[in-house]
Amino acid sequence: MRTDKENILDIIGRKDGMTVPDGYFADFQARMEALLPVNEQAETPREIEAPRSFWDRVRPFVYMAAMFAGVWCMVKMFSMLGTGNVDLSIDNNEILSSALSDDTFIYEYLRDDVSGREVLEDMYLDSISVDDIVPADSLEETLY
Amino acid sequence: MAKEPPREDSRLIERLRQPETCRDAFNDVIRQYSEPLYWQIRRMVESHDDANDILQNTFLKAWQSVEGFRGDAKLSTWLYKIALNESITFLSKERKRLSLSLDDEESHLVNLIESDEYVDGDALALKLRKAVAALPEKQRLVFNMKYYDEMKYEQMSEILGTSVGALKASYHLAVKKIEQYFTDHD
Repeated sequence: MRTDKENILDIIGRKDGMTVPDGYFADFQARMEALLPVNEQAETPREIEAPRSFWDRVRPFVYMAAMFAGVWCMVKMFSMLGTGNVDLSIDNNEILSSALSDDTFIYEYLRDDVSGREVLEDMYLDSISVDDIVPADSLEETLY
Repeated sequence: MAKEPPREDSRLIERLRQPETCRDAFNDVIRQYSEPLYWQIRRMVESHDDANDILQNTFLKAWQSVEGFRGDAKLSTWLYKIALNESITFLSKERKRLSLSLDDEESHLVNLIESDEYVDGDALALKLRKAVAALPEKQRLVFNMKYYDEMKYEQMSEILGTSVGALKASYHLAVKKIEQYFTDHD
């Protein structure tokens, strides 16, 4: 029975009995070619990209690294200021501490109660004439 | 009436990808593929006028998306896919337009076959068309591709996205149903 049924398909022999109007395919092709709209994407030549230099490739990473470094510096600075880690006291400054513990330094530079007479004596010892610096009238007013 | 699909032409694909030669190459595609695609569509929708419209839409869609065709798939596979999608979409729209159920579709297609003016008068071939029209849509597709186009299961699998095993089973079922149709309508 199976053989009989297979024979049916064999007898028909892949004919579907369909036809088309005369010259249909030639007409269709001509019509279709005329119908095709402009396809800008497919028909426009693509621009050839210039090869990227080493700097072009590296530049974004360099910029990014610089940005992160900047941010890191800012964060570091603000955190130091915020937590008071920056010690500005004189005690922790070695040079200032040694200077302040040096009597000569104090005597020479920091004494603020030096009288005019002592200055004049020092100048005399250093062979500096007062007349060279200040007029005699104003000196008298200063001393007396 | 089986129409052999043309051999793949790698040069044609290469020309399709070049903007300067794209349009000429597509005109060659139309010349090469309009006939095999037409028969595939016509066997699905039965009416010449509908097949003509669907074929036109198929080429328009292919032309619009030719930029995306990279040549990974065979040209014929790509075109068959578009054509079959267009055919199935058309049949679905027709069912909605005429408020037909899937069962009613068979009688609608039989009516189209009987009123078709573009036939060669072969009674057996006409009977086979009616038997095929009685098949479910997927089986009809598979039968048409295998029997009339003598397409390989592997290519059918690429086009339909179904496994080879399932396609073989589907074709076997379709043949059985056609045999039964001939028995019932002796």
